[in-house]
Amino acid sequence: MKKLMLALLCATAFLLTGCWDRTDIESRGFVLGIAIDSYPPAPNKPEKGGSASASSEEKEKFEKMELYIEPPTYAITVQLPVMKKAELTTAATGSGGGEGSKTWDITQIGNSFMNMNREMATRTNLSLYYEHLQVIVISESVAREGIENTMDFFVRDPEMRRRVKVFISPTEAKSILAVQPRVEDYSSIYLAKLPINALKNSKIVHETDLGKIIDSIHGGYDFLLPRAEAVKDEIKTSGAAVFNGHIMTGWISGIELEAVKMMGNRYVGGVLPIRSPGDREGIITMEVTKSKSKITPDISGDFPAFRIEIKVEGNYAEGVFIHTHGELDSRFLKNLEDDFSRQIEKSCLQAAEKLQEYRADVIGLERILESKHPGYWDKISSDWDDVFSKAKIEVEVKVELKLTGIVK
Amino acid sequence: MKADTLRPSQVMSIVAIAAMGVDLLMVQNTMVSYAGRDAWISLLLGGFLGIFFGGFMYYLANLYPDKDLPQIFVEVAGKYIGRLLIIPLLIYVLFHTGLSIRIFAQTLLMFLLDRTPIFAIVILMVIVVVYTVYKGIYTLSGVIDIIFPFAIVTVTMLILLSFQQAEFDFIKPVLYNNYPKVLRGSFLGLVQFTGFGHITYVLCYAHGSKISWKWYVTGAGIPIVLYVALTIVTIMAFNPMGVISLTFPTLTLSKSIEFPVTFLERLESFVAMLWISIAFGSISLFTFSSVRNFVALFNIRNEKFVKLATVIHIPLLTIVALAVKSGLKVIEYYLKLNYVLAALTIVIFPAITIIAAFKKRREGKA
Repeated sequence: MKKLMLALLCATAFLLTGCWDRTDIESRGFVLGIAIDSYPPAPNKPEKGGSASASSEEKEKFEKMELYIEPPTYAITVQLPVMKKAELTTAATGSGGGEGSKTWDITQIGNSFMNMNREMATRTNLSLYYEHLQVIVISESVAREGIENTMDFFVRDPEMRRRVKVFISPTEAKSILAVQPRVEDYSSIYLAKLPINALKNSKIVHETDLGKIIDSIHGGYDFLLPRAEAVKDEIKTSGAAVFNGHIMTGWISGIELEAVKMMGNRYVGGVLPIRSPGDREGIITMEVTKSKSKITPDISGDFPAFRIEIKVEGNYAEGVFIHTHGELDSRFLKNLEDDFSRQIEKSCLQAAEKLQEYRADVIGLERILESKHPGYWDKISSDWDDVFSKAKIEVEVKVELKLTGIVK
Repeated sequence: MKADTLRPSQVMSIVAIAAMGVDLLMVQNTMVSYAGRDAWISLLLGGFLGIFFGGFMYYLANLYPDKDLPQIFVEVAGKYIGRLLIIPLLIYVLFHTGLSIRIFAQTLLMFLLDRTPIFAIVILMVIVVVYTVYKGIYTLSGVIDIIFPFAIVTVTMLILLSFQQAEFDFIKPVLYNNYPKVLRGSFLGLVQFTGFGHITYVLCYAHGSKISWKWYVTGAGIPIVLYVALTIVTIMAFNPMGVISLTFPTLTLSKSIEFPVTFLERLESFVAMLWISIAFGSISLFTFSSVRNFVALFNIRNEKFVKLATVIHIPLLTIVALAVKSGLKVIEYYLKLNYVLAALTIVIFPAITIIAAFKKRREGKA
């Protein structure tokens, strides 16, 4: 028996001597970003971007692949860092192809993401590795067709991460990856870090994780995704794409997004400027430190009504074209608070109207109705989009200014 | 580490770890698929049922403090009927263990070792498990002693950290139009706590230690509290439909936690690492029980043959683990095994306990 155990132990030692999954780090192609565009690009809205090298016919021949099932519907671009260039400390060359580029953006045209991913293996000596994927940028034309089809590969594959940030681009998604950022080495990392600033600016969508989106799609909930636009060396994210189910139905601006976040209890920080009370020149800015909303549904009418009470706390952060010179008294602040309240109420009602127009309940009213009036919800749930578009939404805002800074 | 008796705290940790195992990764999916957003209530009720039916087993083990469960079967039901009753027990434990190893290997393959052949993971796990069992219950309980605190801390941390993404609305409305499913689901909840039965296999090794009901209930209560909390937080994080679509919600939950600092960026690796030890502990305990079933069924008395019965588990478990090709079918069979367990728990164990109690009373009167 002892001999047998010894033999087994020896066998274990052999099994432990190596690793089947070993891949040398220099052989890995760390995918940092993915852009998904429709193919062929929408005819009445050409998707133009800043890709420098993907236009030639020869290149396009490489990007196309033999397909079992025609026609090709998507163009996927993956961004790989060129490790040798990453060590350079000389003038930034950025990404997007061309000499001295720090990234290699490979585009593949097809209709199955897994198939396109494997087809890229015919063009690179690296083994594509998605564990460090930072962002997925989807073009508007793809989003308007529905993103569930494009997401399956990214959710099913265990290599993918649920915390990957997803953005929607009104132009060609590939052009976002082609940006040559000033500070970061790679546009994907630059873009992935932008939502951090949602603490300072409420025009940015901060809940943009791939996992959250998939949960919303599975649960049948509407959601928002951040809008991303690019110029040569900058990416801007402000405003959001509105999704009804998995289909994009429209855009909301940054200001509308602020209001939606306040109504949906998702506000994490930002500023709000208004005209000074009784002074048509002055602009006073409040730094919002806290915003909490409470939604009360009323089902007594033909359509449900929702009363949204929002409590906002903030600080008097700045006055422009207005010089208080010791005049900041409690009466002035009370007037200011009332003006801020009215301003927020107006923004919220405008934003709610737009969402009703899009028939997309991104505020989360359905969850409140379902949890508070489940019987009523059962009756209307199948027509919720229609009911939501006709629901009455009332907003009441109470603003409290806590601090006024170190001058009066 | 080695001792000639199990302490009450060791019995407690054995009961707790045995109940966790591979179910730790799938319990939310199994329960939510049946009882929807109220799955946590079914699980809680199932836990109470587990303690109730486990109470029969605790009582039974205390009636025969020097015998383990299959030996008690023979003692109470006689040589032939007793052994006949051991057969479903043996089949359940052997297949549960083999399929647990397969699910364990499948999970590792999916999340960590995508190019390693599954047979390599299975064989390695089987060898390590059988070796631990071969060394005896005291070595095994020593290993469980090490695993236990890490398991509790890891699962608790995972639950607490997941609250940052939890939305309370997803578990509301509670019990709306769902009473029948919740009640029926409690039986599904009951079979999630299969490990409670290990009390009848290990109590006979606690010579001289008074294993009170309190220790047993504490051991059983730990997985109940952790499973229920894990199910609640998973539903709140992913919404009920989201949980249904996930094969291994616990690992997905650990993948969803975001830290502002990057040193804990890959929390799922820590969770997977500690889950490997939890699964190892649970699988080892089930293998130990399987060996004891073989020993009682074939009336093995010679220590040399007991060791052979242990070693024979290497091919047996490997065959069970690798026999089914489809990964989804493995999970399906694993869940179907619960019917055998339900029959054992609800019918056979209480019946044997009642007969044993009458027998003991009659012996006492005589």
